[in-house]
Amino acid sequence: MTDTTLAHGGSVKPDLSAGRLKKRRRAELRFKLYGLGAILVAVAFLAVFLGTIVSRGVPGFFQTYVLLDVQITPDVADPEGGGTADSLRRGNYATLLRNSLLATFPDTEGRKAKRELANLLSPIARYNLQDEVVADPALVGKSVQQWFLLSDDVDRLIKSETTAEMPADQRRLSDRQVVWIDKLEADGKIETRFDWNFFTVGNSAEPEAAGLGAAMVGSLYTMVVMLLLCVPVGVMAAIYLEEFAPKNKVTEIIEININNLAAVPSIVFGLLGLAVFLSFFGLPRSAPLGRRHGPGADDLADHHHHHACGPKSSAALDSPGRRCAWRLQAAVDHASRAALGPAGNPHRHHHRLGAGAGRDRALADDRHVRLRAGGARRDPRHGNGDPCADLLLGRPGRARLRGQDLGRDHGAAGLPHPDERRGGPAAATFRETVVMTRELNLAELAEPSAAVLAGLGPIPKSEIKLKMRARNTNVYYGEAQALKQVDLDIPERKVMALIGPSGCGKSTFLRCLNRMNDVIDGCRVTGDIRLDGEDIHNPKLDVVQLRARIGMVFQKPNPFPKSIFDNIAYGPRIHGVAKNSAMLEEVVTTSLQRAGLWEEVKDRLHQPGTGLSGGQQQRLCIARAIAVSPEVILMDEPCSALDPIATAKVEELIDDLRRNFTIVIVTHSMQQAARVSQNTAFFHLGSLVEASATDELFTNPQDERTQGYITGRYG
Amino acid sequence: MTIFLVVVAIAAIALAGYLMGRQRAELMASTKHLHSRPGYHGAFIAIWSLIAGFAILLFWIIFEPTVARWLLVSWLPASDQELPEAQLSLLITNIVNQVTSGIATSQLTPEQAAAGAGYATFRDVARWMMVIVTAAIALAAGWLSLRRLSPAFRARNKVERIVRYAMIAASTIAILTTFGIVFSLLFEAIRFFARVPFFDFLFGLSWSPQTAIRADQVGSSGAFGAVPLIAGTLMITIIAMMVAVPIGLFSAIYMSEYAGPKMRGFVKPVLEILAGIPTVVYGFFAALVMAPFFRNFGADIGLTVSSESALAAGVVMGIMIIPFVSSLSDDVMNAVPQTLRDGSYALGATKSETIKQVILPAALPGIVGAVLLAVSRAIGETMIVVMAAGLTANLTANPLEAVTTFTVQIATLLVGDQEFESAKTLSAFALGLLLFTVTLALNFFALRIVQKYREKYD
Repeated sequence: MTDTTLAHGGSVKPDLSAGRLKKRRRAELRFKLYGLGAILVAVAFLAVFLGTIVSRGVPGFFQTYVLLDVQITPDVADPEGGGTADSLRRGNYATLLRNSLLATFPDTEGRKAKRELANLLSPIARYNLQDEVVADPALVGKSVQQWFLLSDDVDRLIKSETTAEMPADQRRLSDRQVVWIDKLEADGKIETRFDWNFFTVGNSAEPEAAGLGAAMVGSLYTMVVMLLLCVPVGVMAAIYLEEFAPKNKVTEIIEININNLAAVPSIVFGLLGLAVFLSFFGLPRSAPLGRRHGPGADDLADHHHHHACGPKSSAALDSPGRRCAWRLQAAVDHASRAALGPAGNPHRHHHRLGAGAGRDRALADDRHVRLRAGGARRDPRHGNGDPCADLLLGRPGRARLRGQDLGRDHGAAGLPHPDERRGGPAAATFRETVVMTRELNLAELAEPSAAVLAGLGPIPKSEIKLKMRARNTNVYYGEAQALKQVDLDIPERKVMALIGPSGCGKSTFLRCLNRMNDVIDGCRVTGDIRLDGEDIHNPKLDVVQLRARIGMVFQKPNPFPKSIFDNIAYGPRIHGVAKNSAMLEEVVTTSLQRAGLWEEVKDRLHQPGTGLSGGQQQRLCIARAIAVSPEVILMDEPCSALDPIATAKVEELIDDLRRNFTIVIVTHSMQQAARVSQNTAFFHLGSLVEASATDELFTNPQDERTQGYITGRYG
Repeated sequence: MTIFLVVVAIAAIALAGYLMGRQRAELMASTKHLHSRPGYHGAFIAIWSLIAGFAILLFWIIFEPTVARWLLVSWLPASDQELPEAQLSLLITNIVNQVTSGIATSQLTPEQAAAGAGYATFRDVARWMMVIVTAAIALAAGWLSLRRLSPAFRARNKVERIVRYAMIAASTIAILTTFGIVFSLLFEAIRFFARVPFFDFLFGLSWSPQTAIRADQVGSSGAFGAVPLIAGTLMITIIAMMVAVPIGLFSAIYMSEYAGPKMRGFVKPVLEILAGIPTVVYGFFAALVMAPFFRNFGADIGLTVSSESALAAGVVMGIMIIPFVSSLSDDVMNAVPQTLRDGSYALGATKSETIKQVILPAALPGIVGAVLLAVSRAIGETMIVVMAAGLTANLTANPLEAVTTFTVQIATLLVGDQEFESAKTLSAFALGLLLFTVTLALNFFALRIVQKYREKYD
């Protein structure tokens, strides 16, 4: 083992000790719990919030009443006699109620006590009695028994919001009053009932008599005016911007504007409304005499416009609505456009246009249902509470959906996947090509640096040893079986190529070897896969350990958005490969050298890895994989996204790496398999058809299907 | 009511026009080939009736009150006509109230009453004239366009052009609104800066906008230094972000990386409820639950916490903002390509290592954008601070004391009676301008960052 240890005497191996793994797993759990905790805190906030609002709000819908026997004395209720409505209105009903209370508590002495007794009732109670008597003059002279509204202080006491135990100066009721109430309650003369008036009456100076009626009407008007203005405008703007607008600066400015408007604080819109009133509707800047309600009041409290009178009232009435509409337009516009987005695929349109339907027509048919579902849905929530337009929330959804649509069309149109276009040449010329490319490689392409050569030992000539072994491997994606009973032996320090037509399961098999299929939802792997005789599905084996020993390189170069140095150092850092920064630098340098990238990047180690060319990125990913000194490297079509020169460099690198690593490579290109591998396995429809030495497989295939594939009859 | 009648009339005429146009086109189609389908012929007529009708209606609504007022003034005796503008408008309001609702604040002279009666008659006649004229014009427009129909008439092109113009007009409203905001704030703010120097406003350390109504009152000159307001706004915003960013970000991480589809489907809408609650309800919660809680808690551990502390308002605002941070961050983290995650897992990284070292750095620009948007939301939030934060401009770094914000000041300056010539009221516009500038800049940059980021991975 002269090679993997390099110059450091074995210290570059990843630290896979149980202690360190335990620590990492604990950190993992901690982090996950932070996330869960955050969600729980947020949900708890919501629960506390809703709980408080409900528990504090519900009692407000109830009012407390007292049952009194009231003697409607004629000379008090009807001072002028005759029982005319006018006279009845002048009656002193407060006295009647007080007399009734005094009759209930006959031992009340003194003016103060009597006043306190009368104050138990709401000031509204006398008007209720008055209305009743005016409506039915026959009551005069009789005694009526009915429920009267109590004052809000008593109400609070009954609802236990204040208690008799509180200091007298905090409960707003005297000790005497508390005793009276207790007595009335004990006699069953106090009742708390649902207050239906709350929804019909307007504002009042007396809390117990106030209601939401006027405010609800005001909110309703505001909402209606706003919807009438903003829905058509918002929807039209959305359709225009999404479908018709030319993609130019003006359109862009409009879009930015709409996004910004949705995020402008509502109070700024309030100021806009006020300024419009001042400048266009000619409200006087300073009112000459005490006008009760200035425009500012209309502005900030929308129910105030009920008090406004005169010709300006209609303008004042819908002003908050109009302002709200400006904001809402932006929100509706967003929602509508998000709803339109998925339909943004031009093909469908052109069909309809071709069929002689106008563009509007095609639009109308295609989109409106969607608009109605997506766009309008957002209104009610936004209209009523004027909360915040949630801005971009619709957009990523749109982008994704659109991507899917296009992807689907691509497939439906029967176009080959880009990778599939690289078909193999006919079998007759096949071997020649192989030979030629091999020679080309050696003759023309990058010579390995001296450093690399110096670091590598000779290819060991020992007898072939098995590195990995798969038996009865089955893979299911949900219900569908992607891999059927695959048995494959992977020899050590050799390149094993997996070939086969698209969808044959070769990549799926590759991902079984380092358990990358664990990441995919709904994917199930069965069977026995062993690394050096050890079951990789053994619960005692941490997948982190396994992947440190089996590296992987992907189809598309995927450098992290970090510097070149940090890309390579990523693995060594998480596995504690290097004990100090000098060592880390050495690991990075060696890895880059072994990946043949050192000369190209040594002066820009701290620039982003994403800035490299495709081929360099892929070699960076290989360097990243070998930096943790794995035993096996899995490569999933590593060259399919690269040009021929870059491909040749990577292939040459694979050939070098074979001295130290076991390599399994999935490839679409039979020439590549022939060039780089010693063993080849052919997969077809989820089964392993044939596996043997590469030369053997290509020259003398045992199975008809293999023959068909390598001669280009299908695939 | 008459306006409603007019709208119904125009709509009925348009509908009739549509049906007639379509019918006529169908008749023509029986003999000759039509350029456009019959529906377009109908729509052409309906659109012209609507346009003509509503144009006249709008014209009427705008000019009729002006004419009525002008007539009323001309009928008044010369002595009244020569009154100063303010008193004249008061008199007119009085007369109009008298004739429309019978409420008079002062007795009218017979001449004034006669002018008022004439005014009332004019308004009555004009109102009915409006119905008749508007309907007539709508009819005429419909009839004229009906005459243009012919088999070769390009009805579809015309209808589509009008629809397109309407859509262009609708999308420019956003621009007009922005201009409206900028100019209205600017003009009113300029009036303010004519009274208070710009730099005194921006760098002044004291804010006390109470100007006296009479010159001899104490404190007749207010102080208009915005620094305490800036400090207060910043403090509440910082407290809010200290609540919202960690909770929002960790929730987003959990939802996008750990949670299964089921949990995600449940938690995400639940969190978004927080964004859908009207802010006035949050204000209620802050003032009645959070503030007393902090005050009592502070009292228990020996701290004096104001009942309008910045802490209570900030924490509640933070709760409100959680879904803004979490939703946007969740989206940007989902946009990080799976290949990066795979790359990290394949190296033997755990999930949390992958998140901390690959996903978060990759999603950082998007997250920064999300946080900036949240900051802008916090700065502009009104109702929570109006209800739960203080009114006195207090230049302090102690979150347990009461501070005030831009939005609180704007709201209080404009509630109640005020005149729009005093520095006190006009200062609201200067504050509004500052608020608008700051939030606009934040939104602009945040949206740019988020958009750039999306382009990178899309």
